[in-house]
Amino acid sequence: MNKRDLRTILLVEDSLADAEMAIDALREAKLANPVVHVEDGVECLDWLHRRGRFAGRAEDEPAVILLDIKMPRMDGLEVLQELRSEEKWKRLPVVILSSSREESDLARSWNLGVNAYVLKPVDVDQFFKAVQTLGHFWAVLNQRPDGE
Amino acid sequence: MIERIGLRWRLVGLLAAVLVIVALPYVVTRSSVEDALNSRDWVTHTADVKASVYRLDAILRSGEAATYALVSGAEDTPEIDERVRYPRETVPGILASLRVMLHDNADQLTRLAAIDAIASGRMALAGQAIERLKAGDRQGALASMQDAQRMFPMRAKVKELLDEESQLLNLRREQAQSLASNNRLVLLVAALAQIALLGIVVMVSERQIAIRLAAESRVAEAVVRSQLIVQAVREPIALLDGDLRTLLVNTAFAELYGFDPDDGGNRRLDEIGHGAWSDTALLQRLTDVVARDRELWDYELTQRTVDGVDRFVVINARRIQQPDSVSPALLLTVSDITARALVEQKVTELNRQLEGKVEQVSDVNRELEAFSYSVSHDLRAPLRHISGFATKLESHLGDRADDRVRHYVDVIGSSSRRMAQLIDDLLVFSRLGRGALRLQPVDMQSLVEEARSLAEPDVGQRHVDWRIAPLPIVVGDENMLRTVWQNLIGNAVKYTARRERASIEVGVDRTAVGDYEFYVRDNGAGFDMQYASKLFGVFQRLHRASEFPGNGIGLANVRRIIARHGGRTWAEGEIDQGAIFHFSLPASDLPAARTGDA
Repeated sequence: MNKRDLRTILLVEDSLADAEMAIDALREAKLANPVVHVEDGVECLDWLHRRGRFAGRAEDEPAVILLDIKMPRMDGLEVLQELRSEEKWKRLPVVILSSSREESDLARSWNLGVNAYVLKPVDVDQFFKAVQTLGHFWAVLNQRPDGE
Repeated sequence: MIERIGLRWRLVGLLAAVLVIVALPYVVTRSSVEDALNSRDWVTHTADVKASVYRLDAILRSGEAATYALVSGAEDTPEIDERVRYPRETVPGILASLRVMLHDNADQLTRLAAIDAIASGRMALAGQAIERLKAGDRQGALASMQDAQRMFPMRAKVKELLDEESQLLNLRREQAQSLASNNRLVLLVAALAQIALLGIVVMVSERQIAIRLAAESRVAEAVVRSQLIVQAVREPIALLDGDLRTLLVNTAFAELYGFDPDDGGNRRLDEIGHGAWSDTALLQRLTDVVARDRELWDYELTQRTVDGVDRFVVINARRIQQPDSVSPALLLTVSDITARALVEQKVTELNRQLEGKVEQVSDVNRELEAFSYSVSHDLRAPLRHISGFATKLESHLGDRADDRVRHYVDVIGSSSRRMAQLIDDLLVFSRLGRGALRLQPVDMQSLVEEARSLAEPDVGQRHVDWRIAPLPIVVGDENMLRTVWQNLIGNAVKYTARRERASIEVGVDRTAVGDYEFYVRDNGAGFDMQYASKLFGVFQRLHRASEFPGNGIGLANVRRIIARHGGRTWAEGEIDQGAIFHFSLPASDLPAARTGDA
């Protein structure tokens, strides 16, 4: 297993319950990748830029960001917009994982260049399955050029 | 204008005719008189000529007779001597005067010359006879006299001249008579023409007078009519002079300002209606209208009229030129807009209220949107957590979880799922009301086929007798209409579940105005018409979920979609006999719809 396979899965989620279920699901998926949970958009950018309380972390590009939309301080769409405006993060895989099936949210996400938009299923089995599928796909199956 | 010119030319023509008819007799009469004078002159002339010739003849004869007497031996008396000398003294004068009289007639002059020669010859021979007598040759003297008789016959020439003169006179008389008869004819014709002219003049005058009388009577009628109109019109009208004194007021004006309409003349405007016209600005404006020809348009004013009511009035005034006076007058109309003003006030008030309501509605809409978003996003998360953590609880308990625990967890899970479904349905319903319609031509036939194949799995082992009529292409939102058919056909399949042989019929009718009326008829469970009004309500159900699954949102969606397309939805049914669901879509022009789509 090389270094690239062990890239972090960054989970941006303000709901601790959702985060716990997602982390459970990923753990059950037996993925080797570390899972990092941050609670809003500001923390997400702090983590990416290794600043604030993440200033000392080791350099690491996440395999995928699982991004909630509705969050305090800075919501998911703002994060997405910020990332897509920076050369460094332009091609970073971002998956929106949201309860919103509002047409406006979908349209804005895709216009901002999201890689996937997944609706959080209410059914717990489906939720687990969805998160595990995402983790497996982005952390294991998906290939990216070196140096990114 | 053209009529005036015609009239002028007619007048000129008439004048010319009159001139000709009156002048011609004058000219003719004058020429007749001249002719008559001329012919009298001619008669005189002829008489003069005759007299002179006769005198000449008589003088010559008298001289010769005296000479004969002397030759015959009569005594030489002074009287005879005078008679012998007289021809020589007078004849040349008479001949000279005759030559003057006959100077314009060469023939007569010739004859006169012959007479002159004869007279001269005879007088010479008479002189010779006297000479011979004096010489004592009585015989010689007699011979000279006889020679004179023989050589110079006078009577024939004189007769010739006189006859010619008489003939000329006759000729002139005839000419004069013919001319006179012509003149009489002309005079007769002229007299007749004058009589005719007089007749025409009388006739034309009669006609003119009749026309004039008719016109005057028309004018009088028009005046009466316009007076009636002015008096009858409900709008107060007044005619004022330059000093703003009334010349004429109509009944409405007099009534509004409280005086007798028959006694409405010569009142000062500002003394009318107990101060209703005391507004100095208005009075100034009215004075300007009449003095400087400035119009006054829609001057709004509040007047307390004689009935004690404050009225909103609109004043209009303009200067008019009176037909019977040089000084201009002022036409004043008063429009009572009290009712209108009150209505306008009311409308403004209502509009303000309405704007408030609209504001409220948009507030509500915004809140609703925020609410739906919140429902969509926030309400589902706890449900997920409830079912998720119930599952976690079950797995945490592991072997310690008995059947009862598992049942509870199942119920928690299914309730969560059901609630999530309800939330989703509600959101769909809400979105159907909010989203924009994407109008385009929609093939109803293929939508029905699609809905039918989607419902087929629910048919199972049963037999369904499908009867689908040819359906038109309509204009609408394809996705929404798809939802309509899926709901109606899905319902038909669902509610015929207990029929071994189900019958589902889809068709369309066209109304007189071209609207489409689609229907889906089944022979399923039907419903009690008593509850028909609840059919299309949100989450309203007429059957228990254990009989027929469902949450009662489908028909609410159908109604909302059809309403947004401008159509209607209704249903008929009977318990255990089946139901028929109708919806209508307004007639629409396909090309126009395509344009609208583009």
